Amino acid sequence: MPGALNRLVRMMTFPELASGLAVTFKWFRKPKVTEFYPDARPVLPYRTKGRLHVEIETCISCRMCEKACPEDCIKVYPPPKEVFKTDKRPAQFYISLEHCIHCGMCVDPCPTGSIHHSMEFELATYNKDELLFNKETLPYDLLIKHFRQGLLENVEQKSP
Amino acid sequence: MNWNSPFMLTVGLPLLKIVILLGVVAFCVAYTVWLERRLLGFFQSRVGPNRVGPAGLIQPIADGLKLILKEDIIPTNARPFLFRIAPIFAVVPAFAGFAIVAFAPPAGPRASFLISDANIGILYLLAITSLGVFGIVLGGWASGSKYPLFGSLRSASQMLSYEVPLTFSVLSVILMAGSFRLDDIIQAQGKLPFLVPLILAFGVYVISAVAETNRAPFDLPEAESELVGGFHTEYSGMRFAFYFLAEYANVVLVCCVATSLFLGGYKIPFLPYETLLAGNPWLVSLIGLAVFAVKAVAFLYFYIWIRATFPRYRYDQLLKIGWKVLLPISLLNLLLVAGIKLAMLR
Amino acid sequence: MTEPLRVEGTAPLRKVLETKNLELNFGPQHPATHGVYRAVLALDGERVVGIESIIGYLHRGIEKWAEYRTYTKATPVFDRLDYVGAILNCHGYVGAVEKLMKVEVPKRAQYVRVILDELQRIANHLLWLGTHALDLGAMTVLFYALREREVIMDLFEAMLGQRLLQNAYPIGGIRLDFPKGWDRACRNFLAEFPNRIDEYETLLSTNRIWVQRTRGVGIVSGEEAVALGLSGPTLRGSGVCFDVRKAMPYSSYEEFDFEVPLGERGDVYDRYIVRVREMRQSIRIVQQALDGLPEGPLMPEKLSKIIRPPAGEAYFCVEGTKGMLGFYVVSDGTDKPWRLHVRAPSFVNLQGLERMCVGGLVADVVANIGSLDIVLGEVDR
Ligand code: SF4
Ligand code: SF4
Repeated sequence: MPGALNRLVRMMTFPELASGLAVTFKWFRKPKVTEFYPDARPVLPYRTKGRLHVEIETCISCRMCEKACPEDCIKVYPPPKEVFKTDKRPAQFYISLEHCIHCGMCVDPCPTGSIHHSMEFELATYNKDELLFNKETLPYDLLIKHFRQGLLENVEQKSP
Repeated sequence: MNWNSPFMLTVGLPLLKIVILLGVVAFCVAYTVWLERRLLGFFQSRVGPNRVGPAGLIQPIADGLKLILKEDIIPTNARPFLFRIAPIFAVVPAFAGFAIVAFAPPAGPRASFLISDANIGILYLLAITSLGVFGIVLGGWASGSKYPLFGSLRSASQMLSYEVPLTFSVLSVILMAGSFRLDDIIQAQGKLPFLVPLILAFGVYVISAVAETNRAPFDLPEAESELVGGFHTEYSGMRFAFYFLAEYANVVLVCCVATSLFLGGYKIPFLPYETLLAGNPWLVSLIGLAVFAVKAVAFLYFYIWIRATFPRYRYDQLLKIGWKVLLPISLLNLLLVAGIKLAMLR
Repeated sequence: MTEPLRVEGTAPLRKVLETKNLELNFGPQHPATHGVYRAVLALDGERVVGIESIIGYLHRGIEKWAEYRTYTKATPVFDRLDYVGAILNCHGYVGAVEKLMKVEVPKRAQYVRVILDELQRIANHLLWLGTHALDLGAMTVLFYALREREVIMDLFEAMLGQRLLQNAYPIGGIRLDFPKGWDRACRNFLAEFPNRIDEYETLLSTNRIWVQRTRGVGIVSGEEAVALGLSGPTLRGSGVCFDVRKAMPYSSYEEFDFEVPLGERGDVYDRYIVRVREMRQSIRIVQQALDGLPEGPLMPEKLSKIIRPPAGEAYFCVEGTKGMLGFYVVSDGTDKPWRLHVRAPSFVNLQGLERMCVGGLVADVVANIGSLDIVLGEVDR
């Protein structure tokens, strides 16, 4: 009988509903976790796989990255034979970010470390053609952009 | 203009008040939506709408504009005439209910803060709000689609079932106050809000009011995870906005009525500011309005808090609660109140 | 489907009371089907009398796709099977190839894999918990769960560079060791997380509305569950103790001390509580792995750059987030798999849906789909 009475009292007084309300009220008072993204830039860790970045100056046109890419979105054009003997920099280098899945498989085999991910993550464009990056657009201006966004300081702070 | 002419007294002044009230209520309703989204966000450890204007304050206007500009789609399967008028059926009763709500003590013989001082105020309210279900049933049926049909059927049975305990709990208030007039009821709570003696009725009222207005945890007619959008699945643009408006107008109305019936309206217990400031009727009215608003918003906060916390009932469980739990409780409460009243009369 | 209504001792009232079932299209664009899953419900009022699953809207031919790639190149695509439990898919595939090549994964790599696997399991269960609760109307839990999941995602991003589809493991071991401070961040999370689980349980487990919605709904008995081929928490909710981590330990799981939570009745509530308890067990496993993390290499020493397993076949299964996730690889000695098949737990578990739904109400269908924890990427492949 006391059990039944106890159950009746519990049914009428809603203790568990009240504790649920207490949980939501607790978070009502706490600071919120929303990130104000376009206003506040996120701090990304060092290993973030963002847009690909190629140092054309150090690349030796070995095409290892091209072979490793599962999506076949890299195309390396080595320079003509005569030039290659002295200057190994590629004649043209395409990466289609339209297909890239940011898996990082192209970064692993590169013998010179010329290709790597940057922390640029805002890759939306109005035009698909803008996603095809070439020799001119792949390397340096990204770095400058990072400087501007103050992201490079994060690199220093967060590097392992 | 002669404000004392019979024409002005019977037609002009009420019309003016109606126009003002409509504007104010529509404004309040829009900002109820904003408040709800903001508070829900806070309960969920995020900030809610904050991009349009400071603290997202222009959000309701932006939403309204968007809805007005959207295309008004009428599905091929729908019955066009009914489909068009159904939202009006939903919106009109919701706004009409405000006619008898006394927001503040009158500032003068002709400057009362209510449109119609009907002596059957409560009955009118109960009658007019139960008309809202027609809009929902019609809209769901006229859509010619299955999900809205389900939503409207659920809605009809839900509103019918919860009308009964709601009415019984209001009846006990009427017994306590001895009048159908809202103003009398508020006056009767000068010392003590009815919340204290009628706690059972208040509980029943809160639960059935939540169910009446189709809000979580009883938001079955529009349970978006089961019925997509419920009765307004096929609606878009302005007609959808009407349903939206009706829903939130009902919420505000329920808050106002709860404030009047149980929380003492514009009265502050043990602080008869009306008599203290008797020489300054407008100040009294303003304070009354503020007190009323604070109480109503507190009730609204509770509403949103519940929504943020609880899961949704199932359809059959909902009806079971209505008929098997709330109805007996409210009947019991009514009998108790009547008995005590009778004993006191002897 | 249903018998015409019949009053005792009279002829069936076929003429008068015969009603037609209502066909309701549940999906493929429906808020509660968690993707492009479509169910055609036959309804008698609000009661479900039949349910037919229609799948294939997300079919991408992943298995066939992988057969045209080399073993290494095929790795990242399996993240796209069950995209909320990507690391476990990767582990399954990589493990199958390692088994085929008879590669011994270094101890440290095994432990790191266990840590990441279990974190992924928590992340998956959090997303499941949030969406399941949202389906039943408790919207706040979703935001709380996503908030905690965000921390795990940040841990993944710091470790693997990606948040959702991490391409976590190369064949043979792991790529990089933990970054500096990762260990501490992870431990902080593990210390705080049990309190958060308590909060979810306060909001749901004891809440009378939640209990009424889930108790006794969608019951599958233990035998039925086995007969239907269910696995994972869906099976354990019915009280059958089968966990790949215990039954056929891989990646050093035999060295960890953890329990396999079981349900009793096999209803939605049991499947829910099993997953919640599993999160607590996962915390224990991660803690043990972090404490006992051995030193050593991350990749086996003699592993050629080009993966060319000997001809043969291998089947390797892991305890995925949804159930037993198996990879069957047949090699013909070249650098591409000759045939590859995935035993996708979501796909198999979906068979149980009809058993759970028929006889219930429309609202229960939502609860049942939620309690199965299907991901359409894995169902359709
Ligand atoms: S990140 Fe992956 S998909 Fe993108 S270019 Fe490199 S290998 Fe190809
Ligand atoms: S692997 Fe490195 S060096 Fe070789 S082509 Fe690619 S970027 Fe250049």
